[in-house]
Amino acid sequence: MSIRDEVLSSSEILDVRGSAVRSLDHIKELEGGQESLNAFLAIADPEDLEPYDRGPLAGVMVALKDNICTKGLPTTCGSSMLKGYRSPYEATVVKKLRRAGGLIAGKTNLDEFGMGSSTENSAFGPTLNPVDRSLVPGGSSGGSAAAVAAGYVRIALGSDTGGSVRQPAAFCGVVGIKPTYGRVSRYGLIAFASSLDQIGTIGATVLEASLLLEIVSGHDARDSTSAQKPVPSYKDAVVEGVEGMVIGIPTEYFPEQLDPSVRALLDEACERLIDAGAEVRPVSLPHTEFAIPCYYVLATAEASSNLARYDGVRFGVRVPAEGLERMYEGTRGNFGTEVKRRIMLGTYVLSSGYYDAYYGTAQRTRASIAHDFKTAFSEVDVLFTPTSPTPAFPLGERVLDPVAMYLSDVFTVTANLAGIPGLSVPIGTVGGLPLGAQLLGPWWGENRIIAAAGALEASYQEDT
Amino acid sequence: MSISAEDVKRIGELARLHLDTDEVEHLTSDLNAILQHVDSLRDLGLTELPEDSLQSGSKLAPDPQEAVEGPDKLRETPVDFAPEWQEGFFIVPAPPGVNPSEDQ
Repeated sequence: MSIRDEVLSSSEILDVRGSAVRSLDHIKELEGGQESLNAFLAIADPEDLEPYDRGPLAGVMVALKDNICTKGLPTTCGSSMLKGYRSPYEATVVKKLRRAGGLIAGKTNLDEFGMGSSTENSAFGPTLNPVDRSLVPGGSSGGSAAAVAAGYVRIALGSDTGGSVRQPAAFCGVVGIKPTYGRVSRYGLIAFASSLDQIGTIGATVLEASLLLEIVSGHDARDSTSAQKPVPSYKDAVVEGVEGMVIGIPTEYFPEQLDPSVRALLDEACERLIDAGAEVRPVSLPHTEFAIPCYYVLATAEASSNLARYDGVRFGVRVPAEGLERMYEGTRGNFGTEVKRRIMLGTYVLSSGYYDAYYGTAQRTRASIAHDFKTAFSEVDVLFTPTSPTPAFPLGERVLDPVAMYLSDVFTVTANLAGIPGLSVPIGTVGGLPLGAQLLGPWWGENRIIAAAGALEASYQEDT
Repeated sequence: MSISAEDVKRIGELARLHLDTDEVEHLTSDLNAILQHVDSLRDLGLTELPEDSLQSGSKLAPDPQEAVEGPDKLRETPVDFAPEWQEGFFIVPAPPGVNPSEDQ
């Protein structure tokens, strides 16, 4: 990936354009053939590549999760409801990418509206894991993670509501960053659960994911939840190292049931951080066990409200019927099974008589989880955990068992509930499958987790 | 708490989802399995927020009992709060720092 400050010369522009066209042709050939991963739902036409001559991403291909509004390409959210939908405006992150010289390679597959942990819930078929095609790539940003792992692109954007950037990055052996809530504008990100959603970055290396994050971060007047905080150089943080850094190991993230081979890799990664100069100490996050039920109450409650807009009146498809109610119901029949399940759960927990028992309790639990993190970060700089309890699992294994699927996110949802940044970095393989370690930082502490991830990555690179 | 097939049908109506018999059966089973897991939250017995939760970075909605009902703007004459119209829609002023023409 090129990182540039200077304006390109005419011949360089031609070189970069030729390279970009060849990349797109290559992606189209692979994704259109029998070996397709189904990572992309739409691939850009070379004629649509915008002129570019400067910027840190000049000529670099970027893949976008298909819930990020983009002009010139459809934005479907992996749903029949939005099949062929073209947004009349562009997300702030896409504008920032274009200004930085980036080229949009295409839109990547996802679980419908971001609801899933395997990318099997896409209306357009599952994405396959490039490491082993019989396995899921994780989700919901499985298309973006697979596109980076397969080498189609070096960087991609995803969105992370409960781990949807970090878990697929771990399953595919790449780097994924979910920034602090408010660090990146959500303007143009189609909402799933607005208080939890955050656009995140996926890269082949810590440097690439961090540079992309630096480019898309910053305040946006179009998103009232985006923060007016200065954006430090994440690129520089990659090589800052961990000398003197205090890393907390939350005991609740290392349960007895954790597979011994997974635990062994995590222990080894911890040793590498100590060798690099960090101090490691145990900490406790006592409300962790309640994170999954808390998350699935709040996320579904918000989803039931956000997805009420898909009724055939303004967005996406309309199924004509006699009478307004029948038109609504017919149109909303285009939602897939998991989306319907979550809308139903969200509607139930918000309904009269159950609101405080579920939603109110979950909000108080959320505050307690955030409080746990605040206490922990008064003692340590970052936290080190598994990204997922297991490596990638087989296609179809959990699709009929929603609770088992939800538990895939057990180590990632807490960061979304608290709004803190998290990062997944590869730490080796279990049975040939990539495993990721998660680094969690305090609010606005992305540079700390990037520094720790950079040190870990450098340690593994020294082995090769 | 558990829910019945009748509850599921009623929730489906509230959510404007038409559910066939098979879907009602599956959703009743799925939602009960999920709610059984969710019920662990009540074991916590949390009745209050942690003291400094609003400084934690997590933006929490106000307690509904504390919400104060304000005057309903829609009871006012539209010209009082939205003097400009275009093609039957109110023209809402752009937030500070936003230039709507950039979206064109």
